[in-house]
Formats: sequence, structure tokens, C-alpha cells
Amino acid sequence: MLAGENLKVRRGGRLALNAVSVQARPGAVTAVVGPNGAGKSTLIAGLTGLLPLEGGRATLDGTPLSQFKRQTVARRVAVLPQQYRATFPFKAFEIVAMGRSPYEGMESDAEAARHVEAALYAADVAHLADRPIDRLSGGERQRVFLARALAQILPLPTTAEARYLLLDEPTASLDLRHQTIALDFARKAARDGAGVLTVLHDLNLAARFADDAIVMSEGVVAARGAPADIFNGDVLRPIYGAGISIFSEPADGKPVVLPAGPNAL
Amino acid sequence: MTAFLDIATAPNAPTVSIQARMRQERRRAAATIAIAAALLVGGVLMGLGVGALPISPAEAASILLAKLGLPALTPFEARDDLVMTAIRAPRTILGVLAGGALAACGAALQGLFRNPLADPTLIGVSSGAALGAVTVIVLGGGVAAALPPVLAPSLLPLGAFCGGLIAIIAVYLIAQRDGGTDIATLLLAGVAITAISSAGIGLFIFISDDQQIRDINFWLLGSLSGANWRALLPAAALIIVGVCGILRQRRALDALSLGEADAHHLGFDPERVKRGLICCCALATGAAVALTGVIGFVGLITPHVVRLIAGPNHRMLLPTSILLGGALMLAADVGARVVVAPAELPIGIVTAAIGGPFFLWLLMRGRAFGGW
Amino acid sequence: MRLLSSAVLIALLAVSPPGARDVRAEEGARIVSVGGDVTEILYAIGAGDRLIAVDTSSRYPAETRALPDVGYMRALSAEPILALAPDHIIAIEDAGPVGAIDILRQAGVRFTMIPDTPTVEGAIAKIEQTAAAAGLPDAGAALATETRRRVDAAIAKTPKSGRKPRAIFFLSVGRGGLLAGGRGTSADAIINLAGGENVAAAFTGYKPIEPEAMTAGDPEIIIVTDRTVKALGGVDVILTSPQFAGTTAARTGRLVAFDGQMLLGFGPRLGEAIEALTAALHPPRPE
Repeated sequence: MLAGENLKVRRGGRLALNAVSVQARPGAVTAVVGPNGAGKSTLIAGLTGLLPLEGGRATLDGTPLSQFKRQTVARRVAVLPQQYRATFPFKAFEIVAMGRSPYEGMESDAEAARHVEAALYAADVAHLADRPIDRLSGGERQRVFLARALAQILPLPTTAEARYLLLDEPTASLDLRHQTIALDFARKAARDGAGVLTVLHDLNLAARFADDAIVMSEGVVAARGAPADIFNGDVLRPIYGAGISIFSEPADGKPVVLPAGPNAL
Repeated sequence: MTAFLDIATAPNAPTVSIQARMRQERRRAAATIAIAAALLVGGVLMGLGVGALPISPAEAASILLAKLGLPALTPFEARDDLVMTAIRAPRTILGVLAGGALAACGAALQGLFRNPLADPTLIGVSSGAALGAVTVIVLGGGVAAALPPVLAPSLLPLGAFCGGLIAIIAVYLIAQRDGGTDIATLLLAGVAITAISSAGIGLFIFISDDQQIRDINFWLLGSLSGANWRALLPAAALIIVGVCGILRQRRALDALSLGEADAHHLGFDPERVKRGLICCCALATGAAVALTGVIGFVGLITPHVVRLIAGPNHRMLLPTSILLGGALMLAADVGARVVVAPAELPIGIVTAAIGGPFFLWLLMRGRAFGGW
Repeated sequence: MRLLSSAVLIALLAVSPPGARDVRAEEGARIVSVGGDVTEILYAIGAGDRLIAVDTSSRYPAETRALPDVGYMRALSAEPILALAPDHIIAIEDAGPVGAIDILRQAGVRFTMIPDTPTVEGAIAKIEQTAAAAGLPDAGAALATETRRRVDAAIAKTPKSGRKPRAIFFLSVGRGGLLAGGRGTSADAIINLAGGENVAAAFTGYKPIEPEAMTAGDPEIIIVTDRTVKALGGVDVILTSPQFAGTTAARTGRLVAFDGQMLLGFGPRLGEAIEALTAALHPPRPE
């Protein structure tokens, strides 16, 4: 289990995370939702050691992350950051291959190549393998980085130790079709044993693809549970404001949250 | 949609054959490094064989054989021996070292700053070293007179090295933020230190007399003529240490180019890598600049050219840049020595004259292709 | 006939004493001259035909233009100089770098450094030492004597009493920057020899002077070199420059230019320089 207990992170003088607890359960997709500035990305950063913790601790199977060697953590926890740069024109497969760098010296070239290939197919970018990254569209690029994150934690499933995939806004520049592909990807990784924690700004995607969710607001967790249980007006209106309409999807009863329209506030 | 994660293991699965691609990349990398090595060897032969004094290859080989205690191929004059041993050989070695150092630092800084236009001058090392040297030129007369004659010539390189070191430490301290170094601030601090150094140099030029001004200008334009065995050995040691430190971080540089967050998540320690690279660059560049003066463009152009031809993978890029940098430096030096013989053109003019327009061409080409 | 005289010459060479042979060997020597003064002296004593190369600062006499240029005197390059196969390098002090000079010496090239002191005695010594280096001591002594005669004559014409006119010398550097010749420079020395008072004597060396210090010093005459006038675009451009505003020299338009090598070289033309400068500093008063 990858867990953050009472995480406190200070940024620019204020507590961006104020005693936030979260868990990424192997086999499940957990969504982190909330308005802009709620602290969602900070949560990922604090959990993975990118930002220093003022309080609380992040643990992997009970042991604080700080006690693991960096490469060991990298073999078990892969992160897709919200922003990524592609300074130099690496080819798509080279970028995905970088995902295997935590395994340097531990596997043969053939094994590494197999994992890279699997990741490329899983993210539906195999046909772009030779393309330099600067010649790809925004969506294609995002999927290449998704493939890279996956390449880091292959092979799945694994009996010994669970692997974790942390996605920060994986659907940001994707069209509807590829949003579905990306989150299907997340679900399938979970089905194969990974623990997936994904930040999503779209509540409806969270409702459809996540098993659990936490709703954040101003650095604290406002609600925790299955989306069907917690995506309701009592939870969401205080956070998102009065201008939202909440329905129930006729087909499966999952919640649908939409802006109520003009003049709603 | 293709099945998830089963694809590579299915028996008749279509495959993009990543392994074949990786093998191909490796072969290309080896070939590129080999070509660069061949160019360097060519450069060395040029550096040793070309000069104002005509020395035939047979004579040159004989001189070398004689040094090794072997019989010579053809007789040669003592004067030729002196020119080869005391002038061309140390000069060629300095060219290889300085060219390699500047190119390695250029590649490292471009990866570190995630900016293809970064080079050693940008983080203030070169200008700090220049300021140190100019200080010695203008104020060092009294100190040099007090030193024993053996030490006096090393005052200038010492001043340059101290200047470079102080500059890089200042830049690094300024850029410290929340326990880490912010790249943007580092760049700006480098620009600021460069501006201060330029002002300082300008001030010295202002108060110095005619002779000193000419000395300063000559030093600022760079030259390999300061190569002598005594100064070369310590410089070589420092440069080799610095360049090896940079080479060790090849994989980290690949990861860093994706961003520091990504590098962190891939298991690297961006802060340590940054600190290490900056130290190594300061070491290598400072040692080089101390001996040669400020030589521009080699650090900027060499990695660029290699990337254009052979791609951005640092495992290939760094060794290739080091070898090619040495070759380019030696080629420029031959130009510097031959064009206005019996005088000598400062090598910085040659590298700027060739590097400048070439760089412009690169920029225009880049824009046309929509690339970085 | 020629064969006979050659045979006689060879026979003479075979039996002549060693010292004289050295002199004769020097007479055939290939010389590289570094420093404008040294070059000028070598031409003046008739050794000009032995020069195979000069440095950038050697511009007088005009014959120097035809010779290869070994570059800036403090940034000499050993190999190309060796390629010229010189026997002897005669250089004004301050030539360098040390490394190049060492290599040239190691290669068996004779290297003579001539001291440079901006005084009359210094100039005489320079002439004598240069001539000795070139193996022409007699010609050197003759030139030294002639030079001293002209210098004495020129100094005699210098007024010994009365007020010394205030003068200042400027050297132009690069993009129009002007450096004043302070104490210890050859400019200061020549101004004093010509019976003038150097306004810039408050500091040493060539330094830029503060406009206020200029106004306070109030030079009556500004001295520059011909090259400066050409570089800055004419006498008027210099005189109307703001840094001279308010000075007597600017007001009365008294700016004189001389050949730089003659004025500052402290070489064979020292007498000429003193005479010319004296005339400029002390113009004949209208009756």
C-alpha cells in the first residue's frame, strides 16, 4: 500500500496540504478531485518526495518512503507529472525506454525492449515509435509519457510487491476518445494489480472510472469514498459553488455533474 | 483497441521490434563516436604536421621515434625537434583538452538548463575567469615582480581559475531556493555575473595603459600559444576530472531533459546531479580558460551539430561532443596559425568567424523546420 | 677575376682573428626587429637590408611596410618566426611572451633585449646597444654622436627662463578614448625636454584624465600623434570635443600633431622631436 498520512506541505507561506491522508490501493483506481488550487498536484508531489513534508509521512508498505533508495522507489512508483518538457527531439520509443532506467544493470536488452514495446501498445502509441517527440501532437505526446510511466512499473501483475501509478491530470490535452483510452489504461493497470492514484479535474471521468475518490478543497480532504456515494450536492456545492447540477446517469446510476448554465449563480 | 499488456507476449503479435531499434541506435552511436574519434585523430595530425616551419611526415615520425629511443626514419634538424616538442605537441594537446572540455560543458549545460543555447559563458565561468585574468594583467605587475621568475608566468592562469571559481560559486549561491537550485534563477544569475565581470573588465581597460589594453584584448580573444608542458599537466588533470564527472551523468542528463520532476520520479537526485554537473563544468572550463583565454562558440556549436546529425541521446552525445570539440579546436588553431603568418590570429576570432554564421544558419534552419 | 678575389677573401677568412670573423658573421646575419625604435635605429645605421621581419609597431621608415609582420610585440609566436630562419632577434624590452622567447633561444636564435628609458641618455644607450647587437658599433657610435649633437642643439634653443607653457599629450585608444601621458611616460619626458609643463604630471602612466582636472590644469597646447588625428577625424573634431571645453588650448585652437614614432620613440630623431615640440610650445612672439 502506498499511503500518505496527515501530509502537510507548505508552499509560499501557506499550508497547501493540511493533514491530508490518502491511499493508493493495489487493484483499485483512486481519484483525487477538487477545484483549482485545492492541493491535488501538491498531494502527488508531497507523496512522492518532490516537495518536502512539513508534517506527516509517506509510506510504502508501512515503511517511510525516505528510507528506500530512490531507484527502488522508482521501480515501484511511477508518476506522470502534470507538466513535462521535451527539450530535445528524442524519439517516442527512446522516451518510453527512459522508463526502464531504474532497472539499469538488472535486465537484458531483450527484456527491456519487451517492456517498452508493451507500454507503447498499451498507450496506443506503438505506431509513433520512431517519431521525434517534437513532431507529435499534444495528445500523442501525453500518451507517450503515459507509456513511459507504465514502462517504469512493468511487469504487471507481480506477486511480490505491488506497483503504483500516480497520474496527475492524464486527460488534460486529450480528446474524448483518448480520454477514454487513457483511463481505460488506468483501469486495466489496476486490474492487473497496480494501485492507481489519479488526479482528475473532470468529476464525471472520476465517477465513471474510479473505484474510490477523495474530494479536496483548500488543502484538506472534504470527503472520501466511492464517487456514487460522495458526489452529491451536500459535498460538492460547498466546494464548487451553487452553480452545478447533479444528475444520475440513467444507464448505471453513476452521478453526472454539470455546470448549471448561465445565470445559475 | 489492442489488448492491454498481452501484446508483446502473444505468439503472433505484430511487433514494432523495439529491440531491433535499440540495437540499431547503439550501432549508430558507436559509428558516430568512431567518426568523431577519426576526426580528432585527423585534427591531431594536422596540429602536429601543419605549421609555419615545414616538417615532413617522415621527419615528424622520426622525431617521435627518437623520443622513444628507436632509430629514426630520416635525419631531422634540432630546430624541427624543438618546434615539434616545445611548440606543436603541447599546443595540440591543449587544443584537444580545451576543445573537449568546452564541448563537454556545453553539452552538459544544455541538458542541465534544458536549453539548446546554453554554454559555459552563460553560467558565468568564462567571464569570471576573464575578469580574474584581466585583474592579474592590470594589477599583477607588482605581485609578479615579487615572485620568483619560475612562478611568475603561472600568475595569470591562477587568476583566471580563481575568477571562474568565484563566479560559479556566486551564481550557485544566488540561485539557491528552498534547498534547491532554480534553473531560471541560475541562468539569470549567470547573466548578472557576466555583466558584472564585463563591467569590471571594462573598468580595467579604462584605467589601464596602452600596452595593458592590448594584452587584455589579446587574452580575451583566446589563443593556444600559452601551451607549455609545465602548465599543461595540472590543467589536464583538472579537465580530465571535470569531464569524467560529466560523462558519469549521461543517463541523468537524458532524464533531466524531461524535467526535474520526471528525473526525480525516475529515481535520480536532480539536486545532486545539478551540483555535480555545475562543479565539473566550473572545473573543466576554468582550467581551460585559464590557459587559453576566452574561446567562444566551441561549447555552443559542437553539441548542436552532433544533435543535428546523430540525435540527442547523451550516451552518444557526450563522448562524440568531446572528441569533435577537440577536432574543431585543432582545426581552428591551424587556421589561426597559418592565415596571417608570421603573426598569429587569436583563435577566438577564427571560432567566432566560423561559429557565428554557422550558428545563424542553425537558427534559421531550426525555425524553418519548426523544431527546437 | 671574381674567382681570384673570392679565393683571396676565403684565404683571408681562414687566417683572420676570431673577433673579426664574428663581426663579419654578424654582417651577414638575418635579423628580426621588434619595436619601432629598434627598427628605426637599425635602418639608420645601415643594417636595414639585413632585416627579414619586423613587428606591428615598426612603421618607420617606409621600407618596413614591405617586410613580413610578426605581430604584436608582446604576443610573438615562436614557430613562424623560426620559419623565417632568423639568426638574431633584436627586441625592445617588454617583448614577449616569455615562453616564445625561451623557445627561440633554445632553437639557437640569438635574442638581444634593448632597454627602453625615456631620457636623452636612454636614447643614446638604445642606439649604442642596438648597433652593438647588430655588430656595427662604429656606425652606432656615429649615429649616437650625431643624435646627441642634434639634441644638444635643440635643447639650446629651448628657453631656459620664463614661464613654462602648460601642455598635455593624448594617446588615442580604440574607439575614440583618449589617454593622457602622465609622469614617467615618454610623452612627459619630451614635454619637459622641450621646456613645457605637463598638466597630467599628477599621475603616472597613460590614463584617462577627468574633464574637471583638465579644466583646472588648463593646458595651453594639446599634443597628439598624426595617427590620432586621422583616427578621430581631424583637428577640429578633437578640439571641439567636450572634454577640452574651457581650456585655453581649445579656445585658441592650439593643437599640434607629430609623427608618433618620432615624438615618443626616443630614438635617432629625438633631436628633431625636441626641436619641433619646442617650436610648437614657444612660438616666436609677434614683434
